[in-house]
Amino acid sequence: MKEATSVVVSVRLPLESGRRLRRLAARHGWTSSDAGARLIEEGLRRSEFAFIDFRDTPAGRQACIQASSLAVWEIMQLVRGYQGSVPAVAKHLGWPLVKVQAAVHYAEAFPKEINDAIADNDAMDFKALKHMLPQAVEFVPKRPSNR
Amino acid sequence: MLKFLLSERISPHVAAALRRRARPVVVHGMAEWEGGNFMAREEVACLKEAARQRLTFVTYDRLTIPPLLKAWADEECTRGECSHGGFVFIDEKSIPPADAHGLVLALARLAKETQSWDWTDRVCFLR
Repeated sequence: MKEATSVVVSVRLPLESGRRLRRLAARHGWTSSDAGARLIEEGLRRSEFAFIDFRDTPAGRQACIQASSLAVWEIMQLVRGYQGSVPAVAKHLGWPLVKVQAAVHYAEAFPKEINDAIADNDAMDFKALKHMLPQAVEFVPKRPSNR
Repeated sequence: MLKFLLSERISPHVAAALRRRARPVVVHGMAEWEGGNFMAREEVACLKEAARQRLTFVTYDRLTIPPLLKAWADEECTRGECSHGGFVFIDEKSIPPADAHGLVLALARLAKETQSWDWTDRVCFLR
């Protein structure tokens, strides 16, 4: 027999919390059940991973680093740019090492979420950008001859 | 005058080097801008304040910001509220964030070559 991938948990909420949950769900186009499941999952991840927070963005809810404007996928893109060197990224950002490590650990636990975000960012090339924002222009600065 | 607000992903060293190299361009790093008050806030609040201050936002984030700008254009332009101080999207394949020197040169060149531009509502893809 195939193992179930979800479980039904009945939760009793205060009336006002139920209303707030419905409002949140409506804002995102989710059902109340979806919204509850997502918030529980986010709460679990917050409790299990240091420095992780979640924020609304136009690309959906994203895992971010607390007290920072950066999402985990952005930090992982930097880590890739520095060939996996966490100390180099910490120095780049002027952050303590442990905050970059926290992002790396989260990305290791949820690789699809992070890889998909990086791939979606990469896919927004100039052609895609000008489709979305017709006023966009491409600018290639003239390189100095001694570079 | 061009006023850059650099995303947090851009090293603070870039902001410092750009200030030296591209005078009189004003350069704010995200960590120091408005006392760092926008670091942990949702993107839309930060970008609306940057737009209000007519700052040109420089970022590698092409995942979340273009849809936000499109939504502003779709929903708010009809009310005349969508104006901003410009956005520069950097292509990390051409100018990797780790190449601080290359980024400083590219932004300094951009500032020099576009000094006659009115940056209102401009969107630039820098590569």
